[in-house]
Amino acid sequence: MAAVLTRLRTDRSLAVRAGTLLLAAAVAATGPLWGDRFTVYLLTQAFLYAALAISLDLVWGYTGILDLGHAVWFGIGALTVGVMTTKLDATGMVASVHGGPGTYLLAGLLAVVIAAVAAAVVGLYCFSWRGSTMFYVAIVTLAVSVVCEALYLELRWTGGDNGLFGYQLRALDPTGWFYLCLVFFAVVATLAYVLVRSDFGLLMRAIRDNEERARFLGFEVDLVKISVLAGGAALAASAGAMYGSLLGLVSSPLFGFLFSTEIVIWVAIGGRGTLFGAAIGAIALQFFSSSLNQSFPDQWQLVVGLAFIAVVVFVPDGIVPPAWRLLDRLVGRGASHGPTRRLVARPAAVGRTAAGPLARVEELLFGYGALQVLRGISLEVGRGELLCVIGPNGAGKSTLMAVMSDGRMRHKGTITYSVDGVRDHAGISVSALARAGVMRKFQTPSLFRGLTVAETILLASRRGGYLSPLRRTAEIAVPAPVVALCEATGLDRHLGDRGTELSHGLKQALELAATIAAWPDLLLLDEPTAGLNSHERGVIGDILKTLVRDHGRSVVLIEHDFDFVDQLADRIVVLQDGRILAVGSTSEIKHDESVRGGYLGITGATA
Amino acid sequence: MIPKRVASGRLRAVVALSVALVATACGGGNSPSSTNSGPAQVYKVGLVVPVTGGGSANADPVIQGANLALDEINSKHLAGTNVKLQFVQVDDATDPKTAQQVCTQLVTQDQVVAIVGSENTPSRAACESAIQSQNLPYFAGNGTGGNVCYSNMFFFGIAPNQQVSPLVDYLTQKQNLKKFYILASDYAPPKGSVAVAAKQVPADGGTIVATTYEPLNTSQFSSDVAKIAAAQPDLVLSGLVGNDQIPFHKQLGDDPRTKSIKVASFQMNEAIAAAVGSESVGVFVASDYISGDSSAANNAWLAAFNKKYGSSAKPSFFAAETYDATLMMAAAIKKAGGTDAGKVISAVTQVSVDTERGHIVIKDGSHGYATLAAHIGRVNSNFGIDQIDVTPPVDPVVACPSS
Amino acid sequence: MSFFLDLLIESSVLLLVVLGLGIILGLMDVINLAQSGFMAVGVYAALTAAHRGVNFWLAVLVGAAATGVLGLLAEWAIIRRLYARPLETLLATWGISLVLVQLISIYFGHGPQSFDEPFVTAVPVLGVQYPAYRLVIFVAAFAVVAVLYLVVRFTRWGLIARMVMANQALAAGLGINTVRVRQVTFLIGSLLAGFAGALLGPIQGVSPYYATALIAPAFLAVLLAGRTLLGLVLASAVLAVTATVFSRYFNPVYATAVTVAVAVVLLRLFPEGLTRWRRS
Repeated sequence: MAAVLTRLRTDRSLAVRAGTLLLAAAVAATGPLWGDRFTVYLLTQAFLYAALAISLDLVWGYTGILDLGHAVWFGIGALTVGVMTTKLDATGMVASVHGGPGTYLLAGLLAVVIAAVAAAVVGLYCFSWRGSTMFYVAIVTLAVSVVCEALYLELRWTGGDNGLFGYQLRALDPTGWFYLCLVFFAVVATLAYVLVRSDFGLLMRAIRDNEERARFLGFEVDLVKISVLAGGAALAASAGAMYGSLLGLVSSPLFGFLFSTEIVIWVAIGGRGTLFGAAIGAIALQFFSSSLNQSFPDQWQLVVGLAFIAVVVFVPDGIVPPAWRLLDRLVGRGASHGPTRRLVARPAAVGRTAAGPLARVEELLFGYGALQVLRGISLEVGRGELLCVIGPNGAGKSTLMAVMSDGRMRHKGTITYSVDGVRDHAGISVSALARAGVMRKFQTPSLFRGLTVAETILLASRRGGYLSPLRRTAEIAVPAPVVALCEATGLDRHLGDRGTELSHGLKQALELAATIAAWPDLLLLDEPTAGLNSHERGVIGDILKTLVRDHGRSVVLIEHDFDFVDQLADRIVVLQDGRILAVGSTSEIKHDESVRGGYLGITGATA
Repeated sequence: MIPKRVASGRLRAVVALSVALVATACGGGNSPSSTNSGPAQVYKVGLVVPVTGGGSANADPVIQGANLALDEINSKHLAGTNVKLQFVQVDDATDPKTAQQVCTQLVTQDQVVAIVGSENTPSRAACESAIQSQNLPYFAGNGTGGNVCYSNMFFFGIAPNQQVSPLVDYLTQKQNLKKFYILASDYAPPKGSVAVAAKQVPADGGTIVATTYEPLNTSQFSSDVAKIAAAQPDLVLSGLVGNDQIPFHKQLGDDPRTKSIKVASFQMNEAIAAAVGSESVGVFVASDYISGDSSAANNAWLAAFNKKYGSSAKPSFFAAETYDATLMMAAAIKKAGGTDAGKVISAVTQVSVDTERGHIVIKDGSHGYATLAAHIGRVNSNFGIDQIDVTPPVDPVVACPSS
Repeated sequence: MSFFLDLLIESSVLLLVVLGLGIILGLMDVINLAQSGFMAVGVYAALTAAHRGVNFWLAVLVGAAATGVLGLLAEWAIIRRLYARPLETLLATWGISLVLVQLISIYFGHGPQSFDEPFVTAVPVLGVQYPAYRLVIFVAAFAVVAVLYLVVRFTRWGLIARMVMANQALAAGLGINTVRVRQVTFLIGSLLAGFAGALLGPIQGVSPYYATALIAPAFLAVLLAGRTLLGLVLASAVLAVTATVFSRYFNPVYATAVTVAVAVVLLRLFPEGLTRWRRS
């Protein structure tokens, strides 16, 4: 508590935002005191829509899953309550309503379960295949919405074209409903806030920003996306169950494409990726369109459309983010990225002293259609060894690393790893290999746009393991070499900066730090010093040496600078045209005739 | 960071938008429900019309009919000697959520004393849930499938039996058509009508060769035309709704295999006929109102309608139904001696109005449905509808949910 | 045999709607949700001209032209500012559609309009008598596709378009005025939308919510088509045939659901469109 207050005192922009939130909350919560009946009614519904918007924001704004059928989950909520509390007559119209508050509660819980399961099935269909894109998710969820709306009319138990009506829970009066919905919204908003600030929230954003990279850090991205979609659906269904209990109405448009689009618009206008934005977007647009409908019953949708276009064109991020920035500027400070985290050295696991090579590549053949890139590579990587791979451009070095880190790329020949037992890596996914201890660092830094340096390292350090959806880790425990790397490169002064705001040298350092933080047994590093000056290169070199000599890690390193290679390498592999030209110690390679001729270009060498 | 020039532009936009949002949120209040301007007491009545969304095709005649009635009510004091009525028109956007909201607004902010509406079933149910607590009377200027019953709702559109049985009788007996092909929209009121037809056609000695439903918002009917061509019925009975009728009649009339098959429709009206064009000529129509009705009452009404809305306006049954609903509301208010909701509702079954559709009355035991005559007509070459037969008023048969 | 012609015409109808969408998506990466609004503008402009006595075919061109002008305006005022923001563009085009529909309602009223076919004769084709105007639809679709194919394949414009489609940044680097290319693309897309709207008017119901029934299958077809002209033709044919055959032989009320399901499954089997087989 004291820590929170100190932060508020020192961080003015945070204080301003917190103040705005409190003000808004106070205004909203006292609605029945200052508002007329209609305003209270609108606010009551708006709280439910705001909860719905937050559920979409979690799925879309924070995890990048464009769910264009989000209305379906909401509809499931309202429909379940309706089905459990109404009885239909022979013609399919609602004949009677029954059930006390307990029935409604039970129906709500059931709705949450149904929606979560349904969403998980949809997610499984969308995410569990190799070509899945955000685009495909949008299509499938849209299709689900369209189909549900159409099928609703054909089924008898849904009420058909008439829908179900009159089943609102009368035990509460309008003021009671106001406070119930307010509390509901507050609970949803709090849960969402805790989630997005937690470690799991980082993973959500990482997946949104760079899904591939998250996979390479060892996270089962598909599973996470399915869970998030299911969770978002569950939240939406709970809001829908509240809606059904409040108004006693459900019909096919509630499941349809138009309503789904409306929810997307609330979140987009308010500001996706910000919870406050989603909530404000939903609430503000309710009042906006309602008052327009009152003032211009013939043309209100025209005004809505024009206003909408104006917002999208001039404030494409939504209203809340620029509003926050405006407030920040008035307060006089740049925005902060949240309380800074710290890196703390932890004792690192010692390398296993098992016998035999860590990795063995046998007769590896790989190509893209007619283009054959690797034409029969065989090599071994020992434990505690630093193996450098050199060769001209197009030799297949990066491709070799790509195939080694991804067992699902179709290849001929075998790659076996002796981590967690001896295993042929064929068919094993990128994330599973990463979790087993094989990590790859890309040639060009591939970072998460919205995550800070510290957050990236935190994610990496878990190596695909559990991330708490509640707790927010402030002290990130990483092996000592990571701390050393950060200090030596100056990265430790930028822990609170976004990865994408760094200079190129620091980006490379971050990439390397992340890879090491995962403490893999085998590091596949693709040109970690590309674009760095000689001092920076020296620092990296020292860290790599420590990793290998003192901590028993194995490193395969693609490099172009032969002096660098000379200092570091235990062994060198020379690749040319997809084949190994030579393998051996540094001095052996330096004197190898074919290498000198083919790669170093020394004239007078005999072929 | 954001370039200063762009930032200031965005800044202005954000500020302007926030101001607009706050202003609209706070504003939007309306004046109290009754004003004492002179001797007459003005009461507000809600007019709920789908001006946007799928139901908007009929919005114009509904608004015209309602306002024509309002003029008459206020000039002739039909709601009471010192009573003037004023409409508060709202758009339900053909969406139940919006319907609920606008009806709540009518109740809480405008404090209307009654509602005149022409909504589809789910929207109307949503509106009902908003007005139920006040038990406000709702005068519906459209029909249902014959199974919607509320104690505070009165329907001035046709119930299936009022329209279908007379039409089928006419077609089988006067036109000697026996083989029927039924094509209807997959929607409650047409389904109700088809159910009645399914019994009436065999009762009249005819046969139904097939019954097909198309979902709402269909525009391609080639498969139906193909089926009809294969079946070669004497008559196609169309229960298609709204603008779906237009492509259907065009496509049916253009195809040489089907162009000579006779067509009858439950939903054809003057506007649709004009939009269809030449393929609509000769289509049989059964409705609670046809503009070609040559009665004196209708001629007078048409004159008043054309005076207000221009000589090219051809009112359809939507206009007539809403007109009658509004007039009936005024009569009930007058009979009740005020706008007390309970009294007005009880008064409805004790009054009647004489309008372009004749003598309109809602009987006790009719569950709020009007007793209406069926007008049989045929579309003429000017796309108006000539009346060829009219039945005496038929009581509605309603199947209320048992409870 | 009539049924085969029906399938041909239904495919042509969908294809005409899809062409404008497909061109804009393929070259600009913009999902143009304003398509139904543009089509409505096209048909209303055409019928206004026709009611004033203008020859039908000329009226159709008027409709296309009016929509083209509108498209240029929309591109300049709105689309251009949202370059490289596909989601915001999507939302903005949605807003444009809303505005167009409302403007049309306010000016023309909410009810249906009449728009007669230029002729109601039937001609003998493949052994049956078939409504001539419906055949015109097929001929028009075929002609437009042919012209587009020839332009894309054999003209300099087509080459430029293909370059921009393949790699916009590189094309810009080579000195191609990508802004102009996008402008022209949107113009052509709107012209096609207006043309399709006007041409299909006589066999549809014309109201402010014109063609909303065709938009959902049109979008699915565009996404299924990948980025090729052949893909657009195939996708329209597949979806139109599915819908029509299902309506003919099974219960039409489920036709939408079935068509959508088929599209989703096909999209999984052919993630890059119908004309690209999955790389093994």
